[in-house]
Amino acid sequence: MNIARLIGVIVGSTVGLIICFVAFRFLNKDGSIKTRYDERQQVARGKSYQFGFCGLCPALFILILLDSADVVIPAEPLVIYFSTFFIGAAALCIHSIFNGAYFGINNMQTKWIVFFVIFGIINGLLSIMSIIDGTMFENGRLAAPFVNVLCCLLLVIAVIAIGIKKLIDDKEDNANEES
Amino acid sequence: MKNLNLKAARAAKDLSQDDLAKLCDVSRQTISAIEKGDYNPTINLCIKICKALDKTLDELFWE
Repeated sequence: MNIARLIGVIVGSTVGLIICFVAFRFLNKDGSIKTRYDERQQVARGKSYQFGFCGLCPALFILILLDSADVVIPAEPLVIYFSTFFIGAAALCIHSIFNGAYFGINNMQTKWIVFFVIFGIINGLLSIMSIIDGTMFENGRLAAPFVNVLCCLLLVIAVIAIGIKKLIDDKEDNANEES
Repeated sequence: MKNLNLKAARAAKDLSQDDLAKLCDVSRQTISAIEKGDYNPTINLCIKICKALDKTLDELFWE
């Protein structure tokens, strides 16, 4: 049992939770840590969670198949767990963004996007530093710092999807105003 | 089916979708979806919209 690593994961997760808590407090209009969604958004988010679950299940099933066939994945278990989580989270995120249900009615969208960009950059920089100092790979396997790459990728996907959705909405609004 | 009555009533009050959304405590996309006919609101939301636009349910949601 690697106590130092366990403590590292617990401390890292706690810091992440605290950052999320503070972010919700300051990036929501009413200072609430709970995001409010209207009735249509709640329905759309239910569908998004369904998509997330449907993304997660095949990924886990593939892992089970690979494990059954004794295929060794060149990555640490932590990276594998996060990769499956990433697939589910990305599916949920993209579906809810394109259904206008990602941001709640008490979210300050622009500030949230800035928050995503900042954290995307931080994760990207940490990833580059890991590649430079050679900690991205350990014994020929992808090591824990690859989680930063996944986080960066998820945030980049979210920001790009938000941008595309905004363009689609603006185009539709213009067409509606003209009609 | 598009809800042109809602769109006309909103325009008559000189409100944007965003303004109406704020009055009804919903997202702008929800108002847009109702106007486009992509979403059927619950009776509670219909009532909120009617109150915000000073219209009756018949005027906005009955053909």
